[in-house]
Amino acid sequence: MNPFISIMLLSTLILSTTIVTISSHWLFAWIGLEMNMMAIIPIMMKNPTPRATEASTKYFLTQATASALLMLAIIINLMHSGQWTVMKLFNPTASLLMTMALAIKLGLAPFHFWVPEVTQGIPLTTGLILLTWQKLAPISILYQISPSINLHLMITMSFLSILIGGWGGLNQTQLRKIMAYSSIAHMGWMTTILLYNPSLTMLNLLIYIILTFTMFTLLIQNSTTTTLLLSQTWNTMPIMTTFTMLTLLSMGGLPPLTGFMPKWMIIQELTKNDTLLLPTLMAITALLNLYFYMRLTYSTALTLFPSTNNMKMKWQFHPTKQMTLLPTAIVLSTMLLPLTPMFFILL
Amino acid sequence: MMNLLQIVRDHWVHILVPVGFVVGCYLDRKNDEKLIAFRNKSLLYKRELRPSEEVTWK
Amino acid sequence: MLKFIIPTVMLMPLTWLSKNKFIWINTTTHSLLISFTSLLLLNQFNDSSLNYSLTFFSDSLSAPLLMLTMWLLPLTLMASQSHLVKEPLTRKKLYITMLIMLQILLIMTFTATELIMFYITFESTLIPTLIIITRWGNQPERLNAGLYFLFYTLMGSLPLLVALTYLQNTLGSLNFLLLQYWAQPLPISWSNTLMWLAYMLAFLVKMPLYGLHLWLPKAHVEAPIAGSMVLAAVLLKLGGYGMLRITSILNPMTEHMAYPFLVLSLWGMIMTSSICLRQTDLKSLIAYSSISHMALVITATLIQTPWSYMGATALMIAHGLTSSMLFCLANSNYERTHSRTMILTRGLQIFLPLMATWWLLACLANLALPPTINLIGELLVITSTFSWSNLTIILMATNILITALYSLYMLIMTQRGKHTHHINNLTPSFTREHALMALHIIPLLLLSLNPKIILGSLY
Repeated sequence: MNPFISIMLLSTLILSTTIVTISSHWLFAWIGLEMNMMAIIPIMMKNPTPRATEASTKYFLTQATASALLMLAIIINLMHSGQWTVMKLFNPTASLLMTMALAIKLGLAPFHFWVPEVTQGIPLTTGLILLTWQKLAPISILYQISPSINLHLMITMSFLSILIGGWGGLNQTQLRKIMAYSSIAHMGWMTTILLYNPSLTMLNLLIYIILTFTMFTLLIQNSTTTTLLLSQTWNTMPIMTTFTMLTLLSMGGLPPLTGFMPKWMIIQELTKNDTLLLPTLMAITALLNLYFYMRLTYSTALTLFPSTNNMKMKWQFHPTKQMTLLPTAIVLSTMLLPLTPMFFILL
Repeated sequence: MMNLLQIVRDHWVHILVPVGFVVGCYLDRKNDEKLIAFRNKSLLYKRELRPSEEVTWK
Repeated sequence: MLKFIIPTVMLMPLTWLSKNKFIWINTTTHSLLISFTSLLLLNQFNDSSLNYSLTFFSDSLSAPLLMLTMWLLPLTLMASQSHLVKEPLTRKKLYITMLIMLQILLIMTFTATELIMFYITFESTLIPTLIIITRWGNQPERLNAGLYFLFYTLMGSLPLLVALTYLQNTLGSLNFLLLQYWAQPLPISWSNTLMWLAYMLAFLVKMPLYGLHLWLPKAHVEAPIAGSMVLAAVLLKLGGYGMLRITSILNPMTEHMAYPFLVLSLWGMIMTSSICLRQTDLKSLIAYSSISHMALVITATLIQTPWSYMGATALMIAHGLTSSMLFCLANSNYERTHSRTMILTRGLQIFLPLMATWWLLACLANLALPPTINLIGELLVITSTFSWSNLTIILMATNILITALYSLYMLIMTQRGKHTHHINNLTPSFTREHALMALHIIPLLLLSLNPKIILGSLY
């Protein structure tokens, strides 16, 4: 892609998310979301293959639907309250519609179907943007309207997301789809706690972004897109297998890795609100996620997969990609748990 | 002399664990003292503080 | 407690910086030194506990388990040498690092003052163990075994996390030392039944209770020797330790809830020892015998009498050393014949006569013959269960009988009989192996001179 266009699109992406997060006027928030979608679609189509076209069409359709719903909710709210200010929505219909619209944008179950399809169709770097940066804008709106969201709707959607995020990934071998399902599950954890303690949503989002960034960076390093390719990492960079394993276990939420921190905090917050069954079910459902991460771990670090002889010669070629941020990202995504009290002060 | 240097170079790693033990003992003792100094609030568990020592419960 | 943790951490740079030919000898020597420093823990001058800091403490219950943990590291290192002889150097070092990491986490688990800290370190031990089992196991089934191990434990312990956070919210503290004074009685109700299950299930899975035990034989059979040793000797004791600690806050719910679990463990004890009688796989036999012994510990913990607590603690230490020794013996056979099937490795007495002595001693210790500490443990447990209900003597006596039967079965199958032709050219046993066995059996015998130090809290 032409660097000028590339810079243009990426800065629009950043600008639009910023507009959404800082605007106090519903129209601007909505415009920000639209700009965001318009900016990511050309990035998704960087290599205009049929698969990418399909993915961006799907993305466009779902996002457009979500935007239309959002606008509808804004207008209903306008009619009832007479103002455009982004704040608590007093009308239940408006709040329900807006929650739905944002759930579509985030890919919460039962509106999750586009996430794996779209992620599978686009390059890894774009996938990284889609699964991390693109979550910021909808979550920031959800954060702002969190007091007026219907609790039952939110909890149902969140729990469904955790369940489907775990379930859907079980029979996948494509890594981008697995990452998409893991994103759905993480979104479920984030939105469960949204009504009880929105700061924890932010903490979970932060940790999720760190983890996903690390995982995608590891995948980008070797352009790995399937489990089979992942199992040949040891030919090129043996140390990567260890890092992949630790990052995956951290995503699965095994203590003492970073991924345990948001889960622990969320369980703690839910029990504080006298909800004991929900966190138990959520934690147990998250084991489904851990199961497919474990499978990836097995094919990466814990076994040596059989491979042809010329595959074994791959270590002679030096990697061309510079991954300056990788060591920091790995440290962050595995060793943050002892720093948990610090995050409490931050939030 | 060269021989000695060689031995040191080969076997300097043996110092690691004893040093760890000494450091651990030091930290443990320090912590014990802190806990005991805290106890100095009660008349029962009182201990004479050293001249330069500060009370810890401030 | 840092005086044990920091030197153990320093073992890791020691491993990676040692000259290549010294990695085994250096790590073994220094870990042995560390295990000698753990004798400092015996000095339990205070009634309740040695409060080293706000994070770590040790009392007479955790001290013997800590000493066992630290004693096991040099032994696992000695046992794994020939298993790893063909591995590249980096992987050897990685393996040793994993064992050291496991040791650090176990020390932290046994000394944790906070229940949440205990939970986190308890879960953390999963990662190095999983890596040891699935990375260095021998058969492809090890992958399955690793998954079973991980998911059984996690499934059991996630409700515990929820229950612990609930306790934190209601009591405001999870400190072990405070908990026994602060804990509210848990009145009998449906919700408290679930609460009790959440508290106990994690440990019952880890022990393992009969019915929740399927992960254990798999993990034991597939793990490399160090994995089996640590698993049998220390990791199962995490369950016992956790139960002994947590039952103090569960009254009077435990008396109400204990019956099905008592029945299950008493019945499971008979069942698992009977399974031992028809095993063809040596390691699997030892694994099932572990389950049967651990059932005694569960029973003793659930009936909650002073004697039974003492018996449970003593039995945990005794079983730790005995089963670890049996796994070492099984491994020394496996390294020579490359088979765990007993029928293929019979008649070894002729080839390895001194090893046969160790086999005899280990089997006798396993069936709790005097003067081993196994006897002290079993005696206390059986006496206390007898006074709980006279009928248990039937099950207990049957179990003792079956234990004796399968121990002798194991001894006779491996040592006596006509040897097969394919084992004609066995390598003779090494001094390293004899030292290993001796280091297992000496504490077993010596501790019976002064069993007070392994009886846990004396009443």
